[in-house]
Amino acid sequence: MRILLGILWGILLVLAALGLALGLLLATPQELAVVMGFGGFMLLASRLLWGYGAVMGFAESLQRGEVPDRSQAEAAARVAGADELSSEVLAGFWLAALEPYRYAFFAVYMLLFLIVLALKLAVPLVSVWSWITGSTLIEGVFWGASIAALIVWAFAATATAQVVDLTRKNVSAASS
Amino acid sequence: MRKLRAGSVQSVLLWTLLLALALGFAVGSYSAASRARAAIATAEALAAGIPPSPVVTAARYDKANSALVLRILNPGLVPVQLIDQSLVFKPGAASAQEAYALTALPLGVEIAPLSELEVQIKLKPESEDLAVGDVLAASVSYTHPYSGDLYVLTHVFKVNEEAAKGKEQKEPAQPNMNQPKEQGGEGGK
Repeated sequence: MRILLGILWGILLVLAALGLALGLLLATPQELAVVMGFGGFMLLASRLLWGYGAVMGFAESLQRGEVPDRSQAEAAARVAGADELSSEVLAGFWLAALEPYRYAFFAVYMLLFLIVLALKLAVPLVSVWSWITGSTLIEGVFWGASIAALIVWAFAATATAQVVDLTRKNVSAASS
Repeated sequence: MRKLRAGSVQSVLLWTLLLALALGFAVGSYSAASRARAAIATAEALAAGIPPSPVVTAARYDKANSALVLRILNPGLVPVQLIDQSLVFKPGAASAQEAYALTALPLGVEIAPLSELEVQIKLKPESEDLAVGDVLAASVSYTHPYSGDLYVLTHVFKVNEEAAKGKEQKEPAQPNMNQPKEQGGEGGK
């Protein structure tokens, strides 16, 4: 049974590798640029995505009224006396600790955006069609990076919303 | 149900979906355009290798200049050089002119790719006007960049009543090979 499953898994892996290779072979250079931009910016965003994902899990377990494991939060928040803070405040500090990485990510993304925009400023009157659809490879990198940027933005906004919800609940509970 | 306010998890989800749709449209357009561009480049590279073959689309008799005017189309993607012209005249019953032939009169005209050009083929000087029933066979020799050979295009012009007045005689449109209408003559009747 184990051996059979192993063989099936192997076949699946080989098929996946073949499909990937075929896709890359049939792709246009522009599509490869999109894949490259997406992959590169996901790599740049990995710290943010794991961080926001952990903050979301932390905030969710607090909202359910559970007692979460604070060790990761205390290490990541990088604030003196973290062990004395309440879990809600600690979540806020953790979120704030991720801010430099988010700034770095969007700084690089904005730089890429400005480069693509600057290249678009010169409108070639002979071939407006290629100006509209975009034929430069750097534009493909930008579109791939945009997908990663949207994912980062969604993660950051969701984590922030959850922590804000938590604080709101806390404030209303304290005032009543 | 909770009120949907800015900054809530639900509104973030909604905005993400909207932005993802727009972004998917943009990325898909970029990808599709790159594919269309590659397909056009391939088709052009293929078509550019096909040797051009000029086609006479119409002919008329220019009475004032005493010439036969051929409208020649170059359907290829490379220019065609017209080198010289020849003319064979065969009189009809109504004609007072004797048969004659003119050979290899230099022409030296270039037809640009995908364009049409009118070529004047002079009749024999001081010959009679064309009459109904006369037949002209006009030949034009040409070369193209893919070959050092000389090709000849011959157009037969039969003079009927309209042609004798100088009206343009259009050649029937080329058959569309993708949509064969009838094959084997009167099959199906």
